[in-house]
Amino acid sequence: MSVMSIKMKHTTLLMALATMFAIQANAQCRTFTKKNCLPVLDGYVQNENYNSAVLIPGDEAELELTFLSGTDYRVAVCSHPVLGAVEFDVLDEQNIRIWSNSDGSDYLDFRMENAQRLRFRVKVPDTDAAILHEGCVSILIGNKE
Amino acid sequence: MNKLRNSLLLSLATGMIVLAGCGGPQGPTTSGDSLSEGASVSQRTKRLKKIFRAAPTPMETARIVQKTGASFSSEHLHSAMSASNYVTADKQAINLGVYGADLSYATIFEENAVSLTYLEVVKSLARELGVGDVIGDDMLARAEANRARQDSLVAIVSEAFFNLNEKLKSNGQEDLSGMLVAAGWIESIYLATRHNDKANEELRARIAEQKLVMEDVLDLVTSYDQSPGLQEVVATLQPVVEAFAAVEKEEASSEISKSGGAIIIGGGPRYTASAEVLAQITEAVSTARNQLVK
Repeated sequence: MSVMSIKMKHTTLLMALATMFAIQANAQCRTFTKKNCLPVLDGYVQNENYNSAVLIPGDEAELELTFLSGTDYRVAVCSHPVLGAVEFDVLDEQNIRIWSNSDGSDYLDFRMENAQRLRFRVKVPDTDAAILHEGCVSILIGNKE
Repeated sequence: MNKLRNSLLLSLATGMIVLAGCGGPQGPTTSGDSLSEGASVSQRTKRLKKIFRAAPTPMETARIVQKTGASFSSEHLHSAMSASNYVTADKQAINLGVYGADLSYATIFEENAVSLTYLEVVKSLARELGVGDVIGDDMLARAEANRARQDSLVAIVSEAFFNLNEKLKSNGQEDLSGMLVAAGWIESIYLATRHNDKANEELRARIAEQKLVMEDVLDLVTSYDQSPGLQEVVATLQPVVEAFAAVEKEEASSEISKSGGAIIIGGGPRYTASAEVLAQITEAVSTARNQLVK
């Protein structure tokens, strides 16, 4: 067997393992979201969108979405405790910050008078730790009349 | 050969350690002070910015249309009898979106018998698509038991479509999820524009605002890998995009106030469409919808 052939098989194997771990991490994220995050939307009907990712300290996530007039919404940001307290703020179409979770809240209840696209920005706090932990972060949207 | 065997063993051992660190597939815990379900030691050190794409659902659109006092007639829904005509995965995903929007409208307008029929159609198409397990018999039984309770039906339908989207994405079928979302949006606008001759000012405003939703839908579906089927759906939407381009937008700043524990976001841009523009949107949406259900 040539050296090239062995290297190719090795690379393929490593890629397969990397894919397997990514699938495993995403599957765990789904389970985490369903068990720990969906209950935060209690009293609201969950939107059909599933927005979850595995993040590490220093990572950011953004969700831009239109919210329709005359509807009550709850947007919940749910993260694994290993990531610490995530920062979460809301910007309007003119990029003006209209809310932030400075009180540590993990959700925002609001009502739109007119339809508008809002941007939800989530930042995982940075760390000096030598070992970086990754954890699941989900942004969920619920609505009610 | 020995080197390859050693590498294989080393990789598998590393994998087992990482999996153990993740808590393994069978033993998740909920504690937050250790590596557990939803967390593990990262193999990555480079920071990233994750952008999520999403769009309002047909259920939300149906609700705001109903609030305008618009009427609803089940004769405009796509025939439930046609479901068995769709034999390719692309057509099944597209019409899952169409039937899903029909189901949302029927539920919001409290046509409960129609809702149950369309929930069965959705289950049947989902099964054909290989994701039928997300709408189990228990879900249908819950819907039947709560047929007189609109809030329960809304929750059940929303749960079904949350699970469907999540399942398609986790199966690596994001293109099918995109087709479902795009077709669902077109059907929801199709139903909203069936009574334009009697549309009041509020309904016209709500339809004009759908320009924003259309942009969300396009951002979402174009963020996925473009399979030929998804490209075709995006092309089908193009005349609708052109019709919505004539909607006028008047910029205004947001005004924030508080009411109880919630904030009220007032002001913001206003969207308006003239009768002529509305007619063009109606025509383009109708053509696109009829193309999708072929």
